[in-house]
Amino acid sequence: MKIVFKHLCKYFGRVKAVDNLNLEVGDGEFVALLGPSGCGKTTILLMIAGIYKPSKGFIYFDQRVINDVSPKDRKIGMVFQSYALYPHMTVFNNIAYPLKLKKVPRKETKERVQKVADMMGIGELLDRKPAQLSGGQQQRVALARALIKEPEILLLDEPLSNLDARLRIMMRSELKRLQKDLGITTVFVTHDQLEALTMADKVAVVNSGYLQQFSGPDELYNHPKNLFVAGFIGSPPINFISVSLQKSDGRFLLKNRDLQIELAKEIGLKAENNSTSSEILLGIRPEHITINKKEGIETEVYVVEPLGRDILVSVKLGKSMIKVFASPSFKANIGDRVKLNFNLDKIMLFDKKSEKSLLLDKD
Amino acid sequence: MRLPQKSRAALAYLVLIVPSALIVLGFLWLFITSFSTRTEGLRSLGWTLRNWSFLWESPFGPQYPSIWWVTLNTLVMSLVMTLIVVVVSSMTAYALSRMKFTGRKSFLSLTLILHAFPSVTLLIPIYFVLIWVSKIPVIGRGVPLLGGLGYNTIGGVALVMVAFQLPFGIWVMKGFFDNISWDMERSALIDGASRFRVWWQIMMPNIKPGIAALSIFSFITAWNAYLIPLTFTAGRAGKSAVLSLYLQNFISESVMTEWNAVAAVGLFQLIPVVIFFLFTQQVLLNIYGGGKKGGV
Ligand SMILES: Nc1ncnc2c1ncn2[C@@H]1O[C@H](COP(=O)(O)OP(=O)(O)OP(=O)(O)O)[C@@H](O)[C@H]1O
Ligand SMILES: [Mg+2]
Repeated sequence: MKIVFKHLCKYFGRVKAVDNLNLEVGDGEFVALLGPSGCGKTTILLMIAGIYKPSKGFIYFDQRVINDVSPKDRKIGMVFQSYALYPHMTVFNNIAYPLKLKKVPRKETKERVQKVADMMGIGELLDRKPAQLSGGQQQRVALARALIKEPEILLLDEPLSNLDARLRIMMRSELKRLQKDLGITTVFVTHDQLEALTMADKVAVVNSGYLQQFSGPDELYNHPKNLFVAGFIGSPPINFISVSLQKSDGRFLLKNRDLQIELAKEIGLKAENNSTSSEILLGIRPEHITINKKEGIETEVYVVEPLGRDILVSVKLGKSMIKVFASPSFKANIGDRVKLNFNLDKIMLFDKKSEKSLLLDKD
Repeated sequence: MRLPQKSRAALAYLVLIVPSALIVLGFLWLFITSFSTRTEGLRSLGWTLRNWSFLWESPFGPQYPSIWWVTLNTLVMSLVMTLIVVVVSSMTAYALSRMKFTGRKSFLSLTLILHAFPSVTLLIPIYFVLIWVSKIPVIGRGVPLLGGLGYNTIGGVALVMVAFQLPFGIWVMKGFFDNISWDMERSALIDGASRFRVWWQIMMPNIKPGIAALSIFSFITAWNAYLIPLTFTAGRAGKSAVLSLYLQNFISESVMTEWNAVAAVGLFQLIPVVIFFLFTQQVLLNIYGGGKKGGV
């Protein structure tokens, strides 16, 4: 089922939890809502589920406006951040509860519960109470309870946030596979950008109620629309350097006290056209900078962090700190003078005032 | 300065034992006295069962109701009152805790004010209300067991007790509902439950300790009530007499008070309370012992 939001708003008194959201989730798509804590992600999910009524705007399932449809008629399965299992019921009764309410016959209920429980790998735990399960098992029970209705839309509210790091990585791939196998339209909420990028077909980045960008993981990573998205996506985060854009005899230069970079002509032209002033921010990801001891921009090593596969070097460029990936064979000590080379194809430029990317075509 | 583990435990025990011992001593005296002709401190000066004779013969003559009739009255009154208080409080508290409606805030403060209101000042107006209710056919005074809802009926007394107990009950239950996560309720709504079902199948089982606590409180309040039954029934001689009024029979102006018999009736009055407490406490302990931890 397709989900469409049109000018969707939700206000709690003076708090604008969701503000003018326009979004389209295609049939069978796996979409992640990504944003910092308190940005309105859960509110959006609860509006899809029908628990909250939108203050303004519309939600469509396919062509139908469902603003006033009650939760139980929406064919939705939802897994809550806290799992929200019913502590007084056994695992079996937890999973069977939606069927019980639909008055599905006993025998069929039993079969369906067993089937979905086996699929989730909790077939052995049906007699236990939720308090006797580990976090990972509780999460599977919650998922089983959401799936047993055979919903047309699956809503997941940070389902992995209560799991330990290893289990989270395992469940990440399992959830992705499960979604692809079942083909259920899924909206997944997370504040972990890695989770969003690895699992979702498309990611909607939300900040303080606004949709910042809605695109595939690649696009999001390589062509962020604005400063917030660029800074939020990526770990370690992108480097920002304050520069001014200058033009001298047809050449475009990014300059500040510590560096000077010449831009390709078309990039320079675009930046010049889109910018409101010459003061701009240069963004470049740590993996798009190479470090060496011979030539490039002059800097000083601040700290070195080995990450196993490569090492993360923080260097000081004037007042700003820049993070760079280097190969493990690179040897550097604190205080060493090193030189940086930027991969000019990968740089991003942002307007300081509007915070918008200068390299995207205006829309 | 920190005491070593052992002496700290000993100190704690000492603090607990001294007041407990005083209370136990009181009960011990009550017990011994009720089986003695006379006592000297805790020492019995001769054992007897005569103090308990109220169980099989009426000590005051046939115009007074028997102990068994009075006990039945008290039990019916207490159970009816407890049941209504628990059901009404938990439904009201659920609405106050979970639903948005106009007047919710004022309702909450009103219940709090009512709880603090001195009930004595209401006795006379309520008396007139009950007299008026008595005149309504059937529900006034024609219901078996309860008598009815009017003056000098068990039902009427229970109803007044309910009214006085409700504000407290609502606040207690609201506290318990407030502590249940919204997610559980939302989850049930998405699973297809109606609001009523959510209350009954999801919320109520999770506030069993609250229900048990409120039941104990209400039951004991009703069982020991004196002022309200005294005001709204025909007193110890009437057909709607309760145990606290029965006790009054022994303390009259004309004859010397038989303290040994008073002790026996007092002990008798205590028995159901202990049973009820043990029963509900089991529920309390089960819930807490069952472990609700684990962030469910
Ligand atoms: N029922 C409510 N009443 C009032 N304000 C609310 C309510 N629910 C949410 N809010 C507010 O709306 C904003 C968005 O809340 P929401 O729960 O959607 O955030 P979130 O993105 O899910 O955060 P988190 O990642 O911490 O779960 C917050 O500022 C929050 O305080
Ligand atoms: Mg949330």
